[in-house]
This record gives sequence, structure tokens and C-alpha cells, in this order.
Amino acid sequence: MISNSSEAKDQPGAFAPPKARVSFLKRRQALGWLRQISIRLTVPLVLIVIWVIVSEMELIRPLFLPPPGQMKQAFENLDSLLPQAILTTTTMTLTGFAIGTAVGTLMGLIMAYSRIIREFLGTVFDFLRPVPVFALIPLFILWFGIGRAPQVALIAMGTSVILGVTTLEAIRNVPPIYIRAALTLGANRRRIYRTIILPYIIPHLIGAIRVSAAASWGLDVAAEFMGSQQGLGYLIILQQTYLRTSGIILLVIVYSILAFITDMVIAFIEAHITRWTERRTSGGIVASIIGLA
Amino acid sequence: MAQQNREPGQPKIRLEHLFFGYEKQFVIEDFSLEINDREFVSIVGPSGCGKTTLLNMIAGLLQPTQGQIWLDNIHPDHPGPDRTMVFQSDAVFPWYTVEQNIEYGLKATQKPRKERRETVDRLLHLVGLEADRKKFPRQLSGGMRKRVDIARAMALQPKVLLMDEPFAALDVLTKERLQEDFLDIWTSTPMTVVFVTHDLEEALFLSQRVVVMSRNPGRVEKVVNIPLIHPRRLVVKTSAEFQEIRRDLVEVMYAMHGGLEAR
Repeated sequence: MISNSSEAKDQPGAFAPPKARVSFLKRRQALGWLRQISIRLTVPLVLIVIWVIVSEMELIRPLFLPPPGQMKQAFENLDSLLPQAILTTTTMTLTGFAIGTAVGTLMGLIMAYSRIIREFLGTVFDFLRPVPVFALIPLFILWFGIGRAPQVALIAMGTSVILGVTTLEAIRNVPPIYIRAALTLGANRRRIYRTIILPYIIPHLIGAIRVSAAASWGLDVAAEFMGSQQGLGYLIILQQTYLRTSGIILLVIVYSILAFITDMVIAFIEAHITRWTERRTSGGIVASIIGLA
Repeated sequence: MAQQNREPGQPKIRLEHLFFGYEKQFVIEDFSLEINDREFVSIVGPSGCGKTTLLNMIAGLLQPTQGQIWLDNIHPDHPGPDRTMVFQSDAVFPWYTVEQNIEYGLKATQKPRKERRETVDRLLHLVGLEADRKKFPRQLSGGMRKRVDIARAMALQPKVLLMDEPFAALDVLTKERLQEDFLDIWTSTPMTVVFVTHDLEEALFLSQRVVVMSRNPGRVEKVVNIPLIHPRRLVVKTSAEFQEIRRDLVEVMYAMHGGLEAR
């Protein structure tokens, strides 16, 4: 009955190149990709070259900046300890992160749903939010003892605050137009919460989850500095005691790799659940920098 | 398209001495109007005259400060699926596909699956988006998104369709095309349409009756019948009759602002 050919023109996918051009386009795409990578790798490579020059010529004392050659030795020294340490640290960080994310999101959702709960808990929440989590370390040790419990609690606390605040804030920003539209279409409060508010905040939540995932590795280091007997953070302290700077650098690199992998995994999941958004970052922040995205 | 025969039916909506706002500072003051069953009424007026407020009150999203709204023989004090609304801004849910958007109200009112599917198919056909049913709104043009919005509001087979400057954000060509298409759609259904716009020409082209509102406070300034026969095509806008009615109404609107010479 109604044709809309004039409108169909500006829809994506309406333009399909002839087959002969496809291979050409693919080649051009590959070239563009190479160019992209070479541009993005320039600065890291320059930094490594500077590191080599500065340390090999001993412009800086090896105690402060060991030459890259020493990294191999550091690896051999730590080789036997690494698997166990990585396992311990990863388990602890991810446990704390998972608990914190779940608790924080739930808190945000509940507080957004019910005004009474929001007013009831709001003051405590606002008061606790700006407290630096690291300041709580001694208290946590006092309450939970030495060991994994206070460390997991610390990570959970730090991440739950990030998620709680973001959830609440995201819900406050839901455009009223969607809620009014749903109301006129006969949706009740619960349906609106499920079909409008939740889908709207998910992209914002995933952003916060990525931030808190990165933060949880940082919180883990801090947690392990406080009287831990195993894990990567503990190994860093050990290296410090023996003045093995190369060991410290190596462990920092291990931490970055772990954080990077976590970020990639979350970004991968994000791309799948937020297909509807305009914003598309498939690879993650770091991945987009090294050109994998 | 069959020849449209729309005899004025029973009053569908009665607005009786509506007030909205605070005392001495009413946005809407003593607004009374009867809208007949199956009628297409436009409400025009300068921005800020309370047109949208009026529509929100009929929708049940706002409560009048004083006065009464009758829909058939009831007071609609909360939103209901018998009065759906098409908004000015983009209100299509971006996280749902075209067909999920259209299905939204049907699910909310718990219609059986078979009926939902049939209604969605019928509406996709009606607004000409059958090929785009699996797409997300971001993949559509503004005009196509508006079609989704209209289809979504019509899926519940509302008795009254409330439209709040639905085409205001579109470019002229898309807008005129949607106007014509929407008239066809209206002709094929028993809907009463209350259409709010600040575009006089749009109001004249679409409706059977135009209500001109004044600003500060919002009142009925003038009600004009548009004797042009439905179905109307866009060429009617160039007819002498159309232009004459337009000229009269422009004068009414200018007079509200203190006469032509004041501008």
C-alpha cells in the first residue's frame, strides 16, 4: 500500500559493490590495517629503543632501570613460582570482582527501583562512597584476619562502589520519553523496569564493569602488599626486598597482561549484548590502541 | 482507496473547562472542546501554548488541575492502551528491532502470541516496513523510525491516537510523504486522531477540524472546519480553497500577537 523507496536509499547495506571490486576493496582494507598498526606501534617501539639505549649505556643505574637483557634472567628466577602466583592472584581478583560487581549492581538496581530504600540507604551510601578503600585495609585485616578474606573483601568493596554509583546514575539518565511511551502502550512499572530501564543501562554498566575490572587488579596489588604469603603482589614485595628491579618490572608486565585479557573478554561480551547501540568498540581500549579492534 | 465517508459521530472525547498549572499562572485556562468519534482534529498554536500539556492530559500522563476529561463515559486518569501516543522526539526503543518495537504494547497488554504476530505483520505492511522488520532503529532513517513509532502506537488498535508534533523533526519531503501516507492509514481505520502541531499547513492538510490555541494562558481561540474532501493528496495544498482557509487562519494567529503590523 505504501512504498518508501526514497527513504530506503539512506539505509545501510543498500549499497553493495560489484564482485569484481570486492577483492580490490579487501586489499585496500588490508593495506589500511597494516598502516594503522604501524602507526600505532611506533611510539611503543621508540620507547623500547630508548629503554635499550639508556640502560645498555648505563645512563641510568641498572638498579633503577635494568637493561632488557636482564628480563630473561628475571623470568628464569621466577619461572617456578609464577604459575602458582598467577593462579592465586587471578582467583582472588576475579572472586572479589565478581562479588563486588554483583553486589554493586544489585544495590544500584534496588535503590533505583524503590524510593524508600533509596532514601533509607542513601545517606550511608553517599557517606561511604568517597572513602578511599585503601584506608580500610587495616580495618579489614582486623575484622577478617590475615589471608585471603580481607583481600577479597577489599576488592569487592572497591568494585561494588563503582558499580553501585554507575547503576544509579545510569538509571537517573534514562530519557523520560521512553518511559512515557511505554506507559501509553500499557506497560506497568515492573515491565518498564525490565524492558526499558535494564536494556538502557546495560551499555553504561558494561563501561563501569570494565573500569572496575581494571581497578580490581590494582586493588589486588594493594591487598597483597598487606601481609600476603602468596600471589603476584607478594612476589613484587619479595623482589623489592632483594632489590631485583627486573623482577618487579616482569611482574608488572604479568599484571598488565592479565588486566588486558580481562578487558578483552568483557569487551567481547559487550559487543554481543549491545548490538543495538551506535557506539561499537569490539576489541577493548588497549586492543583498539594496538590495532586489534 | 475507498471514498472516505466520515459522518461526525458521537462525541468521543469531551474536555470540560480544563485548567492546568497554578492559580494566576495557568498554562491552560478554561479549555473546552468536543472531539467526535473517528474525527481528525488538529490543535495548532504558538510554542509554549500548552498543546503538549493538553495531549498529555488526554493521554493520562498528566492530571488537569481543574475540569474534567471524558473519554466515552469514563475519566481516563491514567494511561491506557485505548489512547496511544506518537511523540515528537525519537521514542522508538533503540534496543528492540522494528518488529519487537511494534509488538511492545501487544506484549504489555498480554495479547496471545498468534494475535501478536498477525498484528505485527499487518502493521509492517501498512507502514511499508516489511523488509526492515529485523533491523534495529539505528539502521533506519528518521522517516522510517517515525513509521515504526506510528505502527507501534497503532498496534493496540486504540480508539484515540494522540500525536504530538510527530513529523516536526523530519525534512520537508519525508514529512509530506508521511502526511499523505498517514492520511491513508487513518482512512482505513476507525481511529479518532488528535494531532498537535505548530505547522498550520500540516494541520489544514490533515484534519477535518483545526483548533487554534492562544498562549498565556492556553485557550481555544478559534475552531475552523476544513471542508476539503478526504482522501486528500498533496496537490490540494496548492488549491485556491486551501490557500484561502490558510490565509484566514494566518490572520487569526497574527491577530493573537497584536496584529500583522506589530511584526
